[in-house]
Amino acid sequence: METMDTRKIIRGFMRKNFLKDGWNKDFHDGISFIDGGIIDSVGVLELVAFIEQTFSFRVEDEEMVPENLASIDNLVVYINSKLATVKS
Amino acid sequence: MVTNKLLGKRVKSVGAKDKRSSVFSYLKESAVRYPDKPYIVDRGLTWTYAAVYDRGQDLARQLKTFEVKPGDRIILYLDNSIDYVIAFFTILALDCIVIPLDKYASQDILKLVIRETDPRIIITNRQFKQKINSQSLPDNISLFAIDDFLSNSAIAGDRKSAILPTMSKGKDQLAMVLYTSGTTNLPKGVMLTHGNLIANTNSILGYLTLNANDTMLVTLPFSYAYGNSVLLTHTMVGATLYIENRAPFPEVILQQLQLYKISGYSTVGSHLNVLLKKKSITQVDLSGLRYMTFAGESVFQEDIARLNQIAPQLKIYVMYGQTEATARLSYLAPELIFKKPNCIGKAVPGVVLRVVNNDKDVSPGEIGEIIARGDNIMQGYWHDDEETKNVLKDGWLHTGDLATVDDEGYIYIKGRDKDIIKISGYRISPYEIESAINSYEEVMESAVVEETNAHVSLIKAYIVPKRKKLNQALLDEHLRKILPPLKIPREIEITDKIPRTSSGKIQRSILRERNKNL
Repeated sequence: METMDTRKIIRGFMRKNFLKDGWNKDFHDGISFIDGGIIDSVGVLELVAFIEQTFSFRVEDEEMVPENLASIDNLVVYINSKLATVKS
Repeated sequence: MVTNKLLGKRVKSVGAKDKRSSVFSYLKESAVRYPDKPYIVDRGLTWTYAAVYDRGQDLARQLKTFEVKPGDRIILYLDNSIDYVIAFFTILALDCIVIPLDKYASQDILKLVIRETDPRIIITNRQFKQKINSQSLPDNISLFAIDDFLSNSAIAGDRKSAILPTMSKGKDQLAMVLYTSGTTNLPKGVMLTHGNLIANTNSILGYLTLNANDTMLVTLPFSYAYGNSVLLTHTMVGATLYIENRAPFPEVILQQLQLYKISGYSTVGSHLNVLLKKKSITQVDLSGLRYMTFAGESVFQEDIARLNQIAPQLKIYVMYGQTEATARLSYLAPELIFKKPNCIGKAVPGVVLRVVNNDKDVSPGEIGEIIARGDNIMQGYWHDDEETKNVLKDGWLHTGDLATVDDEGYIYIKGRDKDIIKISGYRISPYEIESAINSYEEVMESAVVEETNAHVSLIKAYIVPKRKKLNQALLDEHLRKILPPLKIPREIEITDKIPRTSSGKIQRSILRERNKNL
């Protein structure tokens, strides 16, 4: 899966589920979901479930950290590196 | 003195001996007693009590240039941070009223609170300011980005001319308007005086023995009653607060508890459930953790048992309360946590609790409504006399929570009146059924409501599965091992999201409306 597809898929999911309320025009891919009040603990579980179902790999406990999951930029890097590991 | 009708005992007011009139005293006294002690640790920086006090005085001088006067409302639209703590106490030093708003507040809530409270200033930061600029603010409301102020100015004030609250109305002066999370209706502004806050802080410290050596990892929002009580109790005793806003990432929380050898952690039942699902919980060193508290929503007894297995040294406090009661109404003593499962205990010191049905105290096992009296009970709802009269009657707060009492006077929550399911004349708590559903491995979360179909009431469950498909036959088999036939959901709807308030409580009213519109 190309990087652009990953980014597009994640953006679509976040816009549909979490970015409804006045943030759309100001949101960019580098914004932290935590600092922006975009996602809570249940939201993180939903995000992880979506990633696992869409990209067909398991998100390990130790990978559920802000560095991997807390912005669209971070997610794209994380997902693409996981996909590369799974392929090889 | 008031009479506790459950116990037949007369109960002292906890506020009686406390001569303080302002919550600001907590910071001032701790700054004098422990000037160099770490108070707030935020994003790697440590602030002492003296530093926070001094910075607050700087901020007060700055805010005075906006011509604030006693009684002015000041909205605090910030995440948990050093900025929040400094601004919180500064507003009180100016005799103004704190109106906290949490970061998850929607545009509609922002508009509602601004319209209702007509604030003089909105204290926020650069990031959240973007959310407000899109509103058309009246000219008399100023926006103040505190991070600009704190990063640009040095401490420059004259320490001899301290800005302190005048407290012209003493303890009865309004300190905060806390907007409730609105599980059933629109949020309402709960008016709390300094006296309310001081009384409840004393009540909590009456059973939670905190001291200046304690450290708390703060993941609860300060803008809610529970988080606010954590801020006040710990400030009063001179303890240290480690602010951690990465609560959505449980691995981080476990690492921080270990790294800082945190002595106390306060959270909600659903968050404990998430933490316990992490494999690493059995690998982190939690030996420094002396106690944990749970409130705000029910906590599963199975989760408490597992927590006790992992950290047997922990004192576990299950607590209950409402924003309308400042925070805390009852607690269960840790030694009773397994003797009295699913119990919220008895009244905290200084509070009287009764469980009544048609104004009469219930018999053991009979369901009634919890009502409460004490110096912690709110003054009313901001600009909503009608709703105030619905809940404050003859000096008692009518909580709207249904409960039973056992023969020793211990209280057991059965649900919110509007959330209770009535089937064949029986009153059934949705929590019990949700707990059973959530214990099934393939379920992420669920919500249960009553549905009327062709004049017949039945139980409907909304379920968010962990994977795309859920084997309902296996779920049914699982439930039948736990629940009697009457409580098995007759209808299941698979959904991708359960509606919740910004504090995480399930909004069953939305699900009931959805059913009506079908």
